[in-house]
Amino acid sequence: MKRFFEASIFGLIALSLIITPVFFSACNKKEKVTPDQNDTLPPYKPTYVSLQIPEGFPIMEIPDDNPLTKEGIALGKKLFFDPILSGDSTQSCADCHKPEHSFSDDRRFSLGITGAIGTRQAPPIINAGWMKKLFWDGRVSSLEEQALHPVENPDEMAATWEEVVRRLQRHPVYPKLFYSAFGTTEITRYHVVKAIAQFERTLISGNSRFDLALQGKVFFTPLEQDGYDLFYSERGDCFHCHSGLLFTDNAFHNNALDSVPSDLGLEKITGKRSDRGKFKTPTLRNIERSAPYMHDGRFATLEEVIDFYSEGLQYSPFADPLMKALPQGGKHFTPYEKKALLAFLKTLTDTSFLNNPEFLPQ
Amino acid sequence: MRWGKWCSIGLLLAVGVLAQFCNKPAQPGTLTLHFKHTVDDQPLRTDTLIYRAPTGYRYSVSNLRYILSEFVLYKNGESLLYNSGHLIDIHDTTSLALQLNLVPEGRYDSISFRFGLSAENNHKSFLPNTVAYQSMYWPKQLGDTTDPLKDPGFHYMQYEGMYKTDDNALPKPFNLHAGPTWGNDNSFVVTLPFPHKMHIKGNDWNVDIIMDLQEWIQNPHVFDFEYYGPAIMPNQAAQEVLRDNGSTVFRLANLTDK
Repeated sequence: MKRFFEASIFGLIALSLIITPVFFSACNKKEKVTPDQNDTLPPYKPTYVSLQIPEGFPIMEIPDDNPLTKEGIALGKKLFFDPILSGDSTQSCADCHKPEHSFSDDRRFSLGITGAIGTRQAPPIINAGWMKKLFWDGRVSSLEEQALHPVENPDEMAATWEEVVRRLQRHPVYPKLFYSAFGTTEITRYHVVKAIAQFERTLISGNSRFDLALQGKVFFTPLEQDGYDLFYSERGDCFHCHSGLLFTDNAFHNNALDSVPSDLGLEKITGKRSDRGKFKTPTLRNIERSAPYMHDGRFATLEEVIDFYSEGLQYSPFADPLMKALPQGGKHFTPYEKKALLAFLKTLTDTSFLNNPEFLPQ
Repeated sequence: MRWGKWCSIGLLLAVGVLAQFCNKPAQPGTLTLHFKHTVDDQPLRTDTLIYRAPTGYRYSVSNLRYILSEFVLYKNGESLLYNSGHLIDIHDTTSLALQLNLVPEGRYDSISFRFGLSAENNHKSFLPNTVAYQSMYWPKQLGDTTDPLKDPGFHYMQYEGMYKTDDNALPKPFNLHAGPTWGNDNSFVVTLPFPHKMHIKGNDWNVDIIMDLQEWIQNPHVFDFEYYGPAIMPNQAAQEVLRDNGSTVFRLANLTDK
């Protein structure tokens, strides 16, 4: 009897070991479509892409888990210009990041689908592949992470990722495009933001008159040359924040816009009082086309920006030490210096970028 | 006969041991440099007007970035050069340590490095092409103006903060930006003896390289923020004060193996 009992127990255990994996395997079975199961899909063979980096630009780090592919970039572009990502399918990323304005907004504050008005100016998305911190206050650390936010922001696209993914999954074209880009038709929000990030990494601007002058292919006018020399002198002192060939140090500064900053900027993220009113240095490339200026778009023209650095600095204990003319309220540029700076800044306009059909909707 | 046999065995063993000893491969190790920062020997606290300059001003430190290069380890008159540069940024914790790999076996007695970059090495291709390094570029407008095509390279240091001349004054900015003003090589070599021999034999050593920021403005020359102003890049006299003061800025501490 005892032997029979032991044998039964042993049998049950053995049976459960056989049945359990089969059962769980059946439960976990996903509706993932692979070429073996669906003849209409070709084999997953993405075409890997190497970016053409302009001469002298820094090395761009591409995340290991999101290599650039022709298919991923094309999908990202389609998504970027498609209002399907917004709550009522009326607004795309490009509505606030307009290609003709260097992928920024020409309005001071962008409008969301509900009519809600934002509180900061939509920053340009050019040379974004080199940015380590995104948003004016640097609250995210990758393009992929950044793209997650506007979709669910109630003041912007006011959608939910669940709904967006459902729409994409039901779409007649998107599942195949996701398959081509990522080898799966099972779409997730992470595939969406990876594709958008891939497209954004291609938005490289490095072919302005300034670049051609550096390469000796064109010459600055005397006014542009004076502006260039002023920009890179301690007198003008623009180059410490707008440094390198990206014209940004990717760092955060309080540039003495306000004696009492109403927008705390980086402080809201770090909790450090010393970060009050600090915002990320924007690139100056295509600056002529990305008005209005500053994190809150308070300046409508470049002339106003230059006037601010010349006479408009507001004393604040939180101002960056790089605002060397803080005690004097500004640099007090001569009218000629202002004109020269403006002329130089306009040499950073890259029309080949702004008119590149690769960056425009089909 | 028995004695001879034992002799032979002993001899073979001795030769074997000796051969083993002679053929034993050298065992390289590592030395990790940890960059630390103090003011008057106290750990640095940023953005607080708590420090007292020799001029009597109160001052604070906001940012500090600097490049060290040409790390050399010394033993018995021999030297081992690591001919590269390293950017240290107090706000980037990943920059606060540098590992020197494959340090050959031996007993080392000192280390040297260059503050900044020599004229020979101060060009853009000597250091990694990253956004951080590009933000250290020295403009050619402040470089060797006799040779406008010459690449002026990098700042050596960007040390920034605020100061006030008296308790009632509003804080003003200071920016100790050191570099190759007008093409002058203002870099300098610092040699620091180890407090005891560093015996590398397949092991990993660590040492702190401590920069005391007060030394930049007090020893041997008093650097007056008010006198030199907030923009010293074109001021060779100010650069020379920093170069002289730099000789006592660094010290070593905590040389240990794991």
